[in-house]
Amino acid sequence: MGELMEHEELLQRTARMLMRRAGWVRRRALLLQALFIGFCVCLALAVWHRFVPLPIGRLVEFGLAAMVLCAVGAIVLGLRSRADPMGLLIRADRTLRLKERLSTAYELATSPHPHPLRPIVLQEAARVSRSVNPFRVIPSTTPRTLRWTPFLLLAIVLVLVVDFGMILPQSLIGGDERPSPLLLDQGQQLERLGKRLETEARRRGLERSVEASRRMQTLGQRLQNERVNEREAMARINSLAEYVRNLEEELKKMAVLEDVSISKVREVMVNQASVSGEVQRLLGMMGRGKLSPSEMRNLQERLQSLGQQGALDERLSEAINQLREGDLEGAREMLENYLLQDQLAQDFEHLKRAERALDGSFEHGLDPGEEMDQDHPGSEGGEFSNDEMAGDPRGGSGGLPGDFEGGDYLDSEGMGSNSSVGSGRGAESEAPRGRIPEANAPASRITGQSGDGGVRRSYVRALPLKADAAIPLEDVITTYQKRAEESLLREEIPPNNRDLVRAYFLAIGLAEESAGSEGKDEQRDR
Amino acid sequence: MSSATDEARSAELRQKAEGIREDLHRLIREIEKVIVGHREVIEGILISLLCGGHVLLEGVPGLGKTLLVKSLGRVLNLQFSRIQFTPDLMPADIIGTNVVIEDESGRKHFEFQRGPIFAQIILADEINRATPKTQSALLEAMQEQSVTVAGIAHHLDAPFIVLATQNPIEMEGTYPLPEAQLDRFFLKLNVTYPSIQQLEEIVDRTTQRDPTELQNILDGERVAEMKEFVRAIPVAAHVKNYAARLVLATHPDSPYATDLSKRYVLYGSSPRGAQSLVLGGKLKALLDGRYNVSFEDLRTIAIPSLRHRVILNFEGAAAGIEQASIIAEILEKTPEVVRGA
Repeated sequence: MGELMEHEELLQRTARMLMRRAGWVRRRALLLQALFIGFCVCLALAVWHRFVPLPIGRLVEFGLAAMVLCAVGAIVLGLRSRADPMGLLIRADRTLRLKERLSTAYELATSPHPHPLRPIVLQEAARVSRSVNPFRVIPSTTPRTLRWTPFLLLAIVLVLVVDFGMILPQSLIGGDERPSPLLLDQGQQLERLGKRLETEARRRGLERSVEASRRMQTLGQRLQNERVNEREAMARINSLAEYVRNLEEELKKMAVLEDVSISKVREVMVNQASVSGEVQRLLGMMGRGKLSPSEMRNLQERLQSLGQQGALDERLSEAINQLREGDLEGAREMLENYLLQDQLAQDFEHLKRAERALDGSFEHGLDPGEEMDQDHPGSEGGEFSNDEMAGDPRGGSGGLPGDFEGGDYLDSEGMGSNSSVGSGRGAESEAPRGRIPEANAPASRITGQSGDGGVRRSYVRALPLKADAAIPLEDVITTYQKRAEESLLREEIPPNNRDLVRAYFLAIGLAEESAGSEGKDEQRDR
Repeated sequence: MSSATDEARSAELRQKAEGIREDLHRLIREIEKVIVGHREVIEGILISLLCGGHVLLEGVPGLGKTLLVKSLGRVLNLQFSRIQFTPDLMPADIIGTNVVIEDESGRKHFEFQRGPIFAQIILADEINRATPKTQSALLEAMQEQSVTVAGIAHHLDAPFIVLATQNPIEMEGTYPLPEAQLDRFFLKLNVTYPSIQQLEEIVDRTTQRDPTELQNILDGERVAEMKEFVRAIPVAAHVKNYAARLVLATHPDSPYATDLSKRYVLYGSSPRGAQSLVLGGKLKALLDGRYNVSFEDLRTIAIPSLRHRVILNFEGAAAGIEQASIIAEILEKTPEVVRGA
């Protein structure tokens, strides 16, 4: 009995050992399956996150919760499941090729009916059960579905990281909805700003700025078209706005974005206003008494605009500084001094030129009186021969020669001296911008002796040269002025050219502006 | 007390089992002194003998079928009888008949004259050459182990085993065995041609030496004892289930039927096939030194047990399909264990 019991106990122990092993393997397999299901849930959450964005922390919490739930479910299932000992023994028989010894013996051992061969069957089973290795009978196997786990993880990462807006149509990724109006507006603004910056940067030849402005435009378009996280988008916009501000500052420093100043400069140039005229207008503004802050700002800007066209010297800078400090009187005084000195300098320049001309005339022994009468541009225009008129700027309507700019006021040194006159013909569009009103003066023909028996011809604008004049300037200027005014009154000057004549006299300070005749008298006195 | 009894009984059983196995192996070794090769055929005949069945031996002439049976008769110390089946053989020639006997006083009476069937080992040589009527004379003897003549039943001595032979190639003038008779054979064994080594051995034994004298190993009583023990060998439920599914798979309309059986089988095995499988498996287990039947035992005995019980349809017969190939497919496709079985 004892031997039989021992054999039976050995068989039962083998069965229990196999059951434990089977339970462990099953629980492990269930846990792995649960892990896989958890990953699937994480993938689903990631996909959901693409459509309905969740905070990353919340997303991670959901994913972990799903994994834990699956694991708990697997453990519960594993604890509840019980392996059938008969099935395990059959498996052991088949795996270890025991020829159904264990299963038959177990059946006899658990059967209520006695069997004549039960003792030897149990003995045989007990003998072979010692060789039963549960790890061989029930090896640990990994569920086949887990082969897809790496792909699943990769898919999760891809779904979370990859911007599908670049790959898939918007309709597939829930992009049918329009972005919020705020984003749309910001995107449009960004795009506009980018275009504007690109234009300016291109004009200035700033390659990096052009590139940056293009990126801004692209980002602006994306903001309008993509459905992105609003918070994220706003952060992006803020950083971009800061970048744009910096860029704008830089461009401002380079006067790229100074549209106001540029327009002012253009205005000054188009209106043929001289620096002095602008200074006079500024003084007029300052003479009205106390200025409002906006007027003060306007004043500063106009002074700066003068600086932009190259007229900003130390005195004007000082005037601007005084304006900034609120010292209106000081600035006014400074500007008046500047204007006075400028006028004196111009007058002195005229005198020097006249003196140079007279010296040249004496040297060549010409009768300047005849020539002056014959060549006066205001009264006798159109009398020159064709070759002499070649360099006449009046031939082009509104076209002005550029010789004042370069200082070639008079070329008295050779036959080719009229080249500078002719050069102004082809620059009709540029002329109004960089010329002072003196450039509108008609050309005069000056003929004189040059060397041994040579005849010298020169074309000048503005005042006649000293060498061609028989009477000092002071004596004739009043006559000329009167004649000019009479001509204007007689309407002998063609209506189209009256403005030019007026501008000429205004430029040389010998005529009065209709708006400021009082100042004109003062200047004439000076 | 119970413990001592169990232990004594356990020891006794073990001793008995060991004795049976030893006797069987001795018997096989003794027969192999005469018969070269054919181990499976010898084992099959022993299985049938110890299971109370009969054997149909099929093979071309000259392969030692008759010698094998005669050798078995010698080593078993059982009554051996050989019946040569011919077309003119009558049932009475096998069973026996009542003849008129005149005694000393001149009175005449009928007396049953035993036929050759009254033996323990019957060699029905070329059984397919007799008419079906004569073949049917064996039916009662094979199943009931008795013959009835003129209303009087005559019991045959146990053990009783019929070993029938038939020639598969000389079909002219033969009468194929009816299905009912075929089903009564426990196993159908094919006697195959020997290999070259076996043939050399046969030549040596039959041309150089005198015929070997065989010893008696078993007697009828011992055979009966062994039969009882073999029947006690346990078969587990799942093994029995496997045997049942194998047998059912031979039926074309069964859910376990395979493709071949569905296509070529007219009738599948009778329940005798399942009995044959399990009993044959038991003896195979015993010969293998085990006290339980395994799947492998069933697989080993399946073809000899079932092939003559599977009746081919016209298509199968016309295509020359062998029943053994159908059984082989069934063995290949039938799972050993099914869930919930």
